Amino acid sequence: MDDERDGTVLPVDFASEHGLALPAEVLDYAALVERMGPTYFERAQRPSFELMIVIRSGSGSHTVDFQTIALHPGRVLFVRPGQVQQWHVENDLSASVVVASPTATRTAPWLPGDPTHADLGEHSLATALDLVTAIEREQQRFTADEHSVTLLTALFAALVALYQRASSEPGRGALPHAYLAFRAALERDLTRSRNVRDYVTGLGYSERTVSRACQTVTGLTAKALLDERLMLEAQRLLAHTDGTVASISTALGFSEPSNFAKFFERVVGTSPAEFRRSLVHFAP
Amino acid sequence: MGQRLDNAKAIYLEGIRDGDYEVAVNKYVGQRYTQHSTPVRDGKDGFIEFFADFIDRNPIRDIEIIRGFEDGHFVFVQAHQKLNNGEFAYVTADIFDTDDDAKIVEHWDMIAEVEPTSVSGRTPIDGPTEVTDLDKTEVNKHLVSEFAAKVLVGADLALTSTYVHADLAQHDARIADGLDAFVSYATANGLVYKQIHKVIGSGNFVAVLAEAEIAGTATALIDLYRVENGLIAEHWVVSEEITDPSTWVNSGKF
Repeated sequence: MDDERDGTVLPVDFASEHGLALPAEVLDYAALVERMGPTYFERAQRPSFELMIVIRSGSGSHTVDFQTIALHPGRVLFVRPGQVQQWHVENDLSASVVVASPTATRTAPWLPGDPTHADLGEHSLATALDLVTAIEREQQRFTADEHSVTLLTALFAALVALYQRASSEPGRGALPHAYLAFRAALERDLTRSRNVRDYVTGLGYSERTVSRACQTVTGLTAKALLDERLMLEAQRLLAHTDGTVASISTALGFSEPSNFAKFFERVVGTSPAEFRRSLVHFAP
Repeated sequence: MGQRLDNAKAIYLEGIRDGDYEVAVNKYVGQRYTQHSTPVRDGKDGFIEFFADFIDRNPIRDIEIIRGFEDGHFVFVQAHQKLNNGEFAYVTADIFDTDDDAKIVEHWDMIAEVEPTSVSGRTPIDGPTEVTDLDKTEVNKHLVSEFAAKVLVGADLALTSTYVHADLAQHDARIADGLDAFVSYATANGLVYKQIHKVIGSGNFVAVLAEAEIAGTATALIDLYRVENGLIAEHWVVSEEITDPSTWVNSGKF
């Protein structure tokens, strides 16, 4: 705890440092950037914890999974474990960064298509800032007893609920269960197979039902969604690790790096090496 | 359709048509107002500053909302503005983003003078206005996104027939009806889209905010498509030349 406030612990180590002890913690955006120094934020990161940024004033940008999101007063960003993000240190913002262990959200794991940000209206923003203040106050008097853990977890879960209520993305309504089950299976076992059937087995739906549900929701077949998701994983690995294209190809379950490169180019539009080079210009 | 569309219409009608721009901006705009209409500064003050002058210059304002829909937080509105008893006639296409109080926080727009004639004989605003096929929103957005990516950005005109109906109803004043006329026009003018910035839709309507190069000119556009039975059946567009950044008072068209 004290280490945290000295600034000796990197926020990216948050989850491993605290485990489940401190479920959620508030950091000041500007203080965080200053204390980490510009080099720390130079490259993409893939944190294993939940990260929420609540913007009070100022402007700037943040990149999540290769999409650059403008930061404005009232906007909230929610970066989920597994997503790749890039901080832009030139931002001039008054903002709070809330980091939390994945168990503190009580929300379903990230799925492709989940919104990355929401614009809170006046009332929601007031509630969000009250919750941030409450988490801040409680983290300072945190005693690691069961009730304090429950309290902080509930406060963060409330913040997530507020965010989710505000963030209904274009066209998203009640999604068919066959689609969600397939998406969840992809998240669980992504590198296991490139065959839709392997993910559908055990879901309780036929391959046809799953594919029809995928088409209804996204316009894409189950196979196209699988390919797209696998290539997002490839992009994430290319961005935040130093692994060679060949080793990433193996990690994703491809037998031949040349097959992987062809596949990547077909789905993403550039070769893996070109994609990685383009990230040099990642920060605008 | 919903509070968001109502607020977008209200800022147009109460704020601009009726001239109550200051009341309307305070009523319908949230904690920020990020403007992409390049002569208007960001913020409520920027809106008030611009429209105080606009209302002065244009004492008679006949403004009609022709089409509109919501997609999540986003709102699309197409309007017809007749100013000063026929001195000016404009067609506008607007996209608004809203916060979770349904208040407006960001605005993109295209404005163009209504051409007196068109090759197809259609006007920039006539044709169906009713939003139907609400269950097909995502599929139709996907169809239009793919058309935009492959045919407009990818310049693969041979694929046009996969996405566009042979009898396309064309409201772009420079192009005749039909798929073939679109392909000929695109070929003759070196039509290449540079980037698709936003795709929003509701049922049979899909709007696309994009930048393109048309006959060598950098152009910003909002295309509106009507999809029928899995093909693009009708197309409206409002476009503007992208002016030099030195003339903007905000972050630009996109």
